[in-house]
Amino acid sequence: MIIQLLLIPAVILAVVLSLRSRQSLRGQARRKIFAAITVVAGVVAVTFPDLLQVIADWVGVTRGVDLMLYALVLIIIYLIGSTSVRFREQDARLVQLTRELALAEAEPHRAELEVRPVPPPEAQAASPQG
Amino acid sequence: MPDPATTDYDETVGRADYDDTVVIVRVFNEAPVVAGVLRELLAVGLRVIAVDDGSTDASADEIDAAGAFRVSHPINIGAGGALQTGIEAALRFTQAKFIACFDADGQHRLVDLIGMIHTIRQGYDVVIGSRFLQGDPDMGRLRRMMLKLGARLTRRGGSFRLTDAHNGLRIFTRAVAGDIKLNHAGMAYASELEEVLTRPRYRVTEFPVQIVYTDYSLAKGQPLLNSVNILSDIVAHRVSARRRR
Repeated sequence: MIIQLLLIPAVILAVVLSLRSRQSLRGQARRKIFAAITVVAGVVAVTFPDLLQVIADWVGVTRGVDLMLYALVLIIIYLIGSTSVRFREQDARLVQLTRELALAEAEPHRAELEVRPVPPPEAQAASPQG
Repeated sequence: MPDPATTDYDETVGRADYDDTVVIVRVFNEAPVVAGVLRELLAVGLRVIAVDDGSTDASADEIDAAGAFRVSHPINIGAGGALQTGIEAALRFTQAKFIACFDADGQHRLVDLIGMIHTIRQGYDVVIGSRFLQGDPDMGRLRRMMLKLGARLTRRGGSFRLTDAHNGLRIFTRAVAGDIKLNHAGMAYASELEEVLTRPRYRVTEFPVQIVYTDYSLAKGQPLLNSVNILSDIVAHRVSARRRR
């Protein structure tokens, strides 16, 4: 079956690509090309409904709808992966922002950190230099 | 709660000068105990940076009442994120030679920390606490197994072999602190940190410590099931770290 030869690498590719999708220019360009292809493919599929069946027959899938389902699954896998990556990146930025904010707020009080706290009375007696 | 500073005092906990050390204490909703822990550290002359990780209880007030230097996250970002903030505060705001980590919930003993300060002064880069160096720690068999497994999983060629995993009591030099860039904001930071701390080029040693399992720390502490999260985080981190190379 041709479809098996196509789907197995496609699943792997979807996972790998999605996990790698960072904000690189190449990634952005890839997404735009992908969006354009989707639009064209959608228009073509609607205009010539039989075409999907032709392709399905050619790759060894019973129905054209099934072929579309497979494509949908691949897209979902890719989306889940790339969304999680984007969330993680966003989280990392949030952590950085929070840290900078906290440090900036603490900065004016940094003198407190240099002042040695006064030890309890018995300790002062033990070490005269305090 | 027993106060280790007074009950366990021996000559190693003198009123020595601890100007060279700054202690980072992460605080997330520990209002009932944090002031006691901080006071204990401050009383021996240690400098303390308390990182309030977006606590929703009175932790911030308790830190101020104890007189520790407070760095407050406006939102909660997790244990690793808080520790990294503490390290950066220590590097930015102090000239301390050594930076230590100490838990806010009272499960660490001051005597152990003092012992570790004395040890690192002998010329080590990193001193890590271990529960397994001396005697049998008082813990469940399953927990012990998970910790041993964790320690083994984080071992890698050339690096120091730890006998304990995720022991929160650590001390390292300023230079080592500069190398620490924790990506994991959550609990899995511990594995990431241990990976940095046990780099072959550092002089690493372990120091026998005891963990005080108070009712409070047990109630708050990590449920055993959380080790599943941590283990999967370690694996995820390994995979992503490899990809970055």
